[in-house]
Amino acid sequence: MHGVEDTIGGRTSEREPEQDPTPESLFRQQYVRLSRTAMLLVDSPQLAEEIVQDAFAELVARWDRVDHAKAIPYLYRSVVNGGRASLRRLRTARAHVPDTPGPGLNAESELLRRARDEQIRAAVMKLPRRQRQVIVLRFFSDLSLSDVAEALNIRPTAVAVATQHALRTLRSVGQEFL
Amino acid sequence: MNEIEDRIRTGLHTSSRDRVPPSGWANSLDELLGRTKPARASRGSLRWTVPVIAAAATVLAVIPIWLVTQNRDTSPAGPVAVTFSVKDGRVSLDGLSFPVPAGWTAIVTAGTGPSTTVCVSPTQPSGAGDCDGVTVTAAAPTVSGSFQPIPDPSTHTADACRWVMLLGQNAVGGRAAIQYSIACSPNGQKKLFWYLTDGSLVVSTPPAAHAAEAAQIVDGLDLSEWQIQQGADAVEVTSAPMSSS
Repeated sequence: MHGVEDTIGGRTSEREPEQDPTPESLFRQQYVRLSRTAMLLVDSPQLAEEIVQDAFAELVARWDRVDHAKAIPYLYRSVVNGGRASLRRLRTARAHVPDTPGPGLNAESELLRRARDEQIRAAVMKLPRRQRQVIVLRFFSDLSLSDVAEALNIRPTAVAVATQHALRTLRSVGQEFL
Repeated sequence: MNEIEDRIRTGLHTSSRDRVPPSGWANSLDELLGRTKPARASRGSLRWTVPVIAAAATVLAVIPIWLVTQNRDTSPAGPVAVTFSVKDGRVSLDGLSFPVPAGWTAIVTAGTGPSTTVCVSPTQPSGAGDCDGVTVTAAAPTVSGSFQPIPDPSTHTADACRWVMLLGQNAVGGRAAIQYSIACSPNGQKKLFWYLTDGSLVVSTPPAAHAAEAAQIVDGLDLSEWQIQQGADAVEVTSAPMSSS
């Protein structure tokens, strides 16, 4: 499925919204990143996959009523809401299990870098829900402050405050890897 | 962008790079929306499992209570025991009173169910089958004071006996009633009926017999002490009375 990944892999194209997007163009631009965002938010690949599918299904179903200029925050909002509902249902915050390093990662430096990235990921996953959401949406999904606010249905100042709290927490727990 | 934000960004992107949905990447939006995944099914079942279990538990809890209530309750909505007596030439049935023609007898021929049937006859009624006299069918009162209306004979007669003639709309015992005849042919022998329009009482005769005695019973009906109060009309008269032939 490299075609899709290659198509939307460039960060620049993902961050620049289209003038007149369509569900298909949004899929090409956002699908992979949205899926990985969902995996960061719910820490369950199966659930993340389903949430993204639901998000696109909802977008298509309501396309006539969605403000196309805000379609991307709409998608992320669907994912956030889907993840929140799923977590509430499951009543669990699963401990992060780092991936097993794949073959070919033989270099010690690469292993160390990989381990450090996993530690960052694990630290983010352990943040309180709201802080985790703002960190993922801002630094992984690369949404603007206003788009994060739109996706989370909170004010931009609340996003900024939650971001500062999250960064402070990460600094305190991640001195050795940040 | 400060350093820690950059590290977080890099860390999240790098650690997510190899993560792939369990079903793999969809090649198109149509493929994504057309997927039916086990994960989706399990989430759907999770969504409904709790409500279904709760509903089942409620039903399981309610059924025994309902059964116990049914067994304990002596049918509050059902008919109460019939009180029937003949004294001083008058029948008393649940407070309903009417005269018995001289020399005639009256017995209850059907006393269970939503109504009670009394046969008033010049001969000793057998207690079963057709009544060789005037039949008085009264709704049985329930504990709550309501009753189940008796079906209107004019609409529940055999198909071959559809010759119904409205004879009058006169009160019986002070309550709204209609009088009509039913025959099985235009010039056939007529059965006479007095029917309280709330369905609480029917007085009827055999074909071409005992009209005078039936009229005597109807005229002497006393409903003032009857346990059944006036109910809502169960019939709507749609034709004008005609003269009896």
